[in-house]
Amino acid sequence: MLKRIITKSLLARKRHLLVASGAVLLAATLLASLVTLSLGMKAQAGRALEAYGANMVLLPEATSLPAGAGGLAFGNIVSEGYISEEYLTLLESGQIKDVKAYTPYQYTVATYQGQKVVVAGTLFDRLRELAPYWQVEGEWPADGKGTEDILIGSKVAQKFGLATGDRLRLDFAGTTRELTIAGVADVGGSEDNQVFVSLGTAQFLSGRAGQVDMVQVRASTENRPLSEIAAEMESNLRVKARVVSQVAEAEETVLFKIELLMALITVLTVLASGVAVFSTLTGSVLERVKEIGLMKALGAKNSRIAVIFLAEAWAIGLAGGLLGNIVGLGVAQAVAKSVFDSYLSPQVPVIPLTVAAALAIATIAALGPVRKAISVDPVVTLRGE
Amino acid sequence: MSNGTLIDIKGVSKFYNGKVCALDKINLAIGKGEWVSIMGPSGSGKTTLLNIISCLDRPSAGLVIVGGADIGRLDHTELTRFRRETVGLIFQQFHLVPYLDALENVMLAQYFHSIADEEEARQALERVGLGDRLRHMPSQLSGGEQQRACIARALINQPKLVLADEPTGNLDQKNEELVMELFQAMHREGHTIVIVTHDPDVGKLADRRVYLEHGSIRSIE
Ligand SMILES: Nc1ncnc2c1ncn2[C@@H]1O[C@H](COP(=O)(O)OP(=O)(O)OP(=O)(O)O)[C@@H](O)[C@H]1O
Ligand SMILES: [Mg+2]
Repeated sequence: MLKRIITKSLLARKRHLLVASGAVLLAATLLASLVTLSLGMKAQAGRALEAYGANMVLLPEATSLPAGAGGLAFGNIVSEGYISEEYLTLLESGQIKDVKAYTPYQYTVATYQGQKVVVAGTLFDRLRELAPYWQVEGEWPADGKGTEDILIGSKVAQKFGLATGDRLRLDFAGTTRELTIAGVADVGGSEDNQVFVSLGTAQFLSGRAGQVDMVQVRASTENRPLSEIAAEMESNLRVKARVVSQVAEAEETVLFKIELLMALITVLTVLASGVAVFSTLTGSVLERVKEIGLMKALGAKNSRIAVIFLAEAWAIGLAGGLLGNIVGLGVAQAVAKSVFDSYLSPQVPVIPLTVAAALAIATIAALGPVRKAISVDPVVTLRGE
Repeated sequence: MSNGTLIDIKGVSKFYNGKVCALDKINLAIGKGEWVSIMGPSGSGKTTLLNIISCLDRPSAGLVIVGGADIGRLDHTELTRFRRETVGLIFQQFHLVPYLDALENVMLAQYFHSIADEEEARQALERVGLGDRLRHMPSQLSGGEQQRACIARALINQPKLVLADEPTGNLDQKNEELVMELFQAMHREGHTIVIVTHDPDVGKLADRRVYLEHGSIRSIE
């Protein structure tokens, strides 16, 4: 019987319900598309920003080296402190979460044709992963202590007229080593002035085994802000962790601002749709005062009257929520297609989330009208007009 | 006709907004199975009295005992339950739910009482001569037919007490007769009936007529 009462009363008021459902639909559409975009975009934007390399630099606790490899000048390299390679296993093992890539550096100065060049020992495989945007002409050298293959910056190549395949003799504080240029790297930064050898080679030549001067890290900001990750590094690794501002901050603030904007729009729409549901239901209660009075006169419990109006609210919420999902996912895909030129992978939790949100809006908006319906006094309403 | 008292009203007064005195220390006992008409000029308190007997409203002062239960002591929920189990209401304006057909309007009362039973509802409508109007919407029924549907609804839960406020007020002569025949049948079946009416023809069918004036009982005959 309840089902009959509800369906018939819904049908009798379908025009009003359509309007309210439309409002909920709008909110649900926005919610669905924004959540889909937000989730999908984080993944997408994260992937896009990965191309920009490191967003954090680890330095020895004791030094005051300026952050970033770019700031390194000859005089600054001499430092008492170092990072013990042992600590890097913590990054390696995933014990510190959200680290996507990292590579250590040990710096030395060598002399070539009477001029000083900065020699950076690093792990080539890791560097490649960390900085996929490096343009290397020739080949990336292999890692390992014995390797003589190196990478030189484009400016070094220019200055000394060197090219891939050339051999060069570098003088390391007395020891001379002959090395082969496997590739020339064009980075567009101070790296172009450096020579890159394998970390093992650098450590061997400098006599500082097991030590590194700097670690570049790329951490994911999907789950927590960089500052939090940096703090964890500092407390676990005995390092100073510096967030590299340009990339990281941009990454964080852009995503944050987008999310904020999305949240704001969503909140506003949700409020507006709540108001629409509220006014529709209030109208429904006012229009049906006589009917409610009659039901109460017939001895209807408050709960049964409440259910009739809640059902109306839920019908609105469900219709709006489900349709909003479909429309919202479509909108999200269209936006993704135009912004990222690729479709987002479907975000499954969006559907129940949106429907639940739509139902919640409808229910909350219904509370006032339902209370009004329950408080109708049958005496007054049944009295002749 | 009466064998025991069903309704006992003692010193009942009703004030609206604390000042308008709609009923002034009314004393009235109505027996089981009795048919009482309440008559009197407009504004004399007839509807007010009926609302109090039907547990739709509570007196400002005095005692109302229906079937041994002191109405004044019942809370809102208990009044609602009492109403649905004891009282059948018939209105001048019928008050059928507009989007439900005749059958469903009767079933609505069953539903609020306990569970809806379509077969029983159909029989109730056949009894009031609406067997061929089951699926008609209220707007498709004449005034007389609507009132008969309303009567079928009032009787569906076998109430001890049937209360009607001007049940023939909106009906023509022919329909008035049809409806009054139904009241007479109810009376024969042993329902206690209280009817508020202006119509002397309706009033004289009752066992007793109570005349109200300015909230007091002027006479009973
Ligand atoms: N809700 C109310 N608020 C204030 N005064 C009311 C209210 N209901 C009724 N009254 C007053 O109480 C008095 C009795 O009203 P009641 O409706 O009982 O009269 P009645 O005898 O049924 O009249 P009628 O024959 O016109 O239906 C009237 O003066 C009326 O104005
Ligand atoms: Mg009246």
